[in-house]
This record gives sequence, structure tokens and C-alpha cells, in this order.
Amino acid sequence: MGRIDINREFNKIQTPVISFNNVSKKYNTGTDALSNVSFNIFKGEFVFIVGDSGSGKTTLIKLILKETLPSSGKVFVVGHETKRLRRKTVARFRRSIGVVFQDFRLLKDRDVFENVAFAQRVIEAEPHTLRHKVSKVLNLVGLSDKARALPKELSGGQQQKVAMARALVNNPIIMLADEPTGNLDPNSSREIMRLLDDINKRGTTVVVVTHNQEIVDEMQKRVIVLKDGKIVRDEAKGTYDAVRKEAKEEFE
Amino acid sequence: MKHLRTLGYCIKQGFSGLWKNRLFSLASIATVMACLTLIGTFYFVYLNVENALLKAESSVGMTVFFNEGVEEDRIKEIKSKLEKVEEISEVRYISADEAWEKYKKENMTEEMAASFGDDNPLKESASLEIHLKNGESGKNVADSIRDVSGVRTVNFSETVSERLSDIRALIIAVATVLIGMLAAVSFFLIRTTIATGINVRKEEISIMSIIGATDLFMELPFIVEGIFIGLLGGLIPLLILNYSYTIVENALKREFGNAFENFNLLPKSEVMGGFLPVALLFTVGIGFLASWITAMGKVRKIAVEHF
Repeated sequence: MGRIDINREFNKIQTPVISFNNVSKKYNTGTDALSNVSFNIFKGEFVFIVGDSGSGKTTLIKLILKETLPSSGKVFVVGHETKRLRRKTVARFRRSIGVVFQDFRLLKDRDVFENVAFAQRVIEAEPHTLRHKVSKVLNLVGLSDKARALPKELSGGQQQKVAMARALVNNPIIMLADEPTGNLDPNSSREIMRLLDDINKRGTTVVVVTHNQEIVDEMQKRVIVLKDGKIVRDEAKGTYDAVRKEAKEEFE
Repeated sequence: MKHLRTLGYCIKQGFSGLWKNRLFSLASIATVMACLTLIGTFYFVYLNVENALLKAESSVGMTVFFNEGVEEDRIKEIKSKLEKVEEISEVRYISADEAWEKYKKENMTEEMAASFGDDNPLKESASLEIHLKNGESGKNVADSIRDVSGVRTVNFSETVSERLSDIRALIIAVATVLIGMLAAVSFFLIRTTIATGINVRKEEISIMSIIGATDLFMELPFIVEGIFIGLLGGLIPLLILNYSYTIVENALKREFGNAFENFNLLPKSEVMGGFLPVALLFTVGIGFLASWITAMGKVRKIAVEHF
């Protein structure tokens, strides 16, 4: 086994892939969606972002994807300040982020293979690279045998795995999952989370926005809690709510 | 190669969109077809009417008569000067004898003509017969000739040339308005078709944008759809017009034979040769513009509405 370059590894792990510096977002309707939010997410981290409806989670995702811009403050994603990104470069920028939605968002008229291949076609991949990568990623999510199935022939959990395969196939730096277990039963939810954990262990930064308390508590990952547009808690090995955390600590 | 493959993919998606949205696509193609058929018919009628007018115009002429005692040499001198005038296409010298012969032939019986013997009552009526290139310049030319010394009178009907110019101007004005209106109708119907297609594929566009598709990649299938609507909407009426022209041409020949020269239509190759590329460019251009403008607005709006 070769020697590990500690400094290199340290720098790698200390590079923020997402950085919010005093970010506020006020919509035209007058709603303050986020107020003075600051945090860093480093390369290779697994982070849960939790909070009630209207707490600012969706705005936070939109800011990461440059779907909206901050009213004040700066948002950096994979080294780019989103405000400075020109329209022409947004497409390339988004290829570094894989997104998974609660409602899977698969193309209903195309089979599993084509749904995943779609992400490769968009980046104009070579046909042989496309075939190789799609097969590899379907194997990773355990759906190689379902390559020719249509989305309607799959269970919810399987559909979410296809969506994850599509998000993964372009080797993103960040995997952004918006309520990935929202439409799934507990078993499928655990399976999806295990898969996300596996993806994270392979080096991809994973950010999960969720309401699922059990999953958050079970996974023992970093948790950022939003309330009324502000970060009220940011813990390295957190739980969904403070009461549970205290109870857990007391028990331990 | 990479871009060619992507282009191929987008073209395939464009056709697929055309099929998925076939009812609207058909309506658009039918509208473009109707528009081009009307434009084509109008254009062919215009071309043939103009051709007939040109023929009539070139026969518009004037006759110049001279004062008594003006020598034939002087008349021929004036003739050679007039031949150099740009607006004049032809000048013919009609001698007094020739004029008398023509008069006798057109207006007298042989017996009446014979009674004159060798007398020529028109001996002072040598004239110049002038044909113009364009009827519009007739009045000015006639006025100038009247000022030439030795000229007694110039016979010229101004109303004929003015009427011909008026007819042409009217045809051009009506054609411009009609073509403009039809183009606008086609344009807006293609826009509606493309907008409907975009709505049907909203989900797909949203996914494309989130996984990093460029604007062009998302818009190209719709532009292909628009171009194809324009192309089909143009090609079908061109075939219909081509076929109909032959039918009309044959019908006119059958009805009138060669009795009236002006009833002969212009050759089909001449008419279609000029119209075909312009018509295709027109319909494809409308399809491209309408779809491009719609795709740019709508696709880009959907591309930022993911949550």
C-alpha cells in the first residue's frame, strides 16, 4: 500500500463544495425565505437539511442549482459563485450536480435504460461510453435486470433507484436529493438511504433534504436544521429534533 | 461527429414531437398549405396578367406626323435620333405610299381603291411609328417629340399606358397585403402548435435542464418541428400548384387555341422555377422563425421551474 499524502487528503476534505456566506433571499411577494444563512459543505460530506414546510429548504436547493439568485450574500457551488455564472455556462455547471426528486421525474414513455441514458445524451457522450456507463450505474443501483422495463412496471423504490442512476451517470460532484423517500414505504426508504450512503462512500458529496425523522436519526450524519429561513442547528452527528437529541444523549 | 450525433438525436426528437402532437401539427401544416396555395395561385395569376400587360404595353405606340414640305431625309434624321432615346424600343418609318396602301387595304374595297388611280391623297402623311419599352414614359416622350421642329402632331393615347400602370400597382398592393396576412396566420398557428408541443413535453424539458442540457439541445427538437411543418406545408401545395398549372394551361389551349396570343400562359418551368425556391424558403423560414421564437421563450421559462 502506498503512503498517504496527509496534506493532500486534508485539503481535499477541507474544500467546500457548497458555501453560503450571509445569504438572504427575499421574494418579490415580500416573503423572507432565507435570512443571513451561512454554512459550508465539504467534499465527501453527507448532510441532511431538515425543517418544516416554509422553513427555506426549497429556496436553499434553488440557490444551489442557480434557479434563483440570493438577494444578498454569496453562494459558491463547486468553486463557482452562482451569481457570476453566465447563462451559457449554467448547463455545464449543473452537470456537476446530480438531482433526485420526491416524485422521481422519469420519462414515462422510455424504458429504464433510456431514462438513464438520457443524462448521457444531454452531455453528448460517445455511444460506447454511454452504454458502458449506463450499464455500470444500473448495476450499482441493482437494476441491471430491469433495463428494458418501463417506469410504470417498477415499484416506487425501483423508480427512485432509476432516478438516482440517472443523477449518478454523469459522475456528479454533488448529489442533491429532495425528499427522496417522500413517496416510499419504510423498507424502500432504508434501501434508498443505504444507496445514498454507498454513493457518498465512493466520494460524492450527498445533500439530502428530508422530513423523514427516522432516517435522519438512524443515519447519524451531519444535520442542518432550518426554521423560518434561519439555521437553528448544525450538528456533525445530529438528529431530526433537539428533544430527541437530548433524550438520546441522556440514554447514552 | 459529436455534434452531428446530437443533431441526429434532436431531429429524431423533433419528428417524435411532431407525431405526439399530430393533431396540432396537421392543423399547422394544413394552414401553411392553404396559405401557400392561395399565395401561389395569386402569384401565378399576377405573373400571367403582368405578362399580358407587358405584351399590351409593348404594343402601345405613338405615331408622329410632319408638317407639309418636310423632306424624307429630315424625317429619317429625326428617326435615327429617336432610336437613341432610351424609352423607345422601335421606330418605323412609314412612307406616304406605304400609309396609302395600308389605308386602302384596311378601309376600302378594291373598286374604291382603283378609282383613285395613281393619286395618293396621303402624300403629305409620311410618319414615324414609335413603340415604347414601357407605357409609363409615353406622355413624356410624346411631349418631347411635339417640340421637335417639323413635327405636326403626335398621336398617343395616354390613358392606355396610365391604366396599365394602375392595374399593375393594384395587383402588387393586393398581393402584398394578402401575402402579409397569410404569413401572419401561418406564423401564429405554428407558434400555437410549438407551444402546445412544449407544454406536452414540459416534464422532459425540466429534466433536461436539471441534468445540464444546453439551451440549444432543449430547443432544437422544437425548431426541427417548426421547420418540418414549414417544409411539408410548402412542398404539398407546390406539387398541387404544379399539377393544377398544367391542367389550366391545357384547358386554355383547348378553349382558345392560339386565337388570342395573350391567352397563352407563361411556360410552367419559368413560373415554377422562380416560385419554388422562394416559396420553400418562405414556408421553412416562417416555420423556423415561429418555432425558434416560441422555443426560446417557453423552453427557457420551463427550464427554471423545477421545484
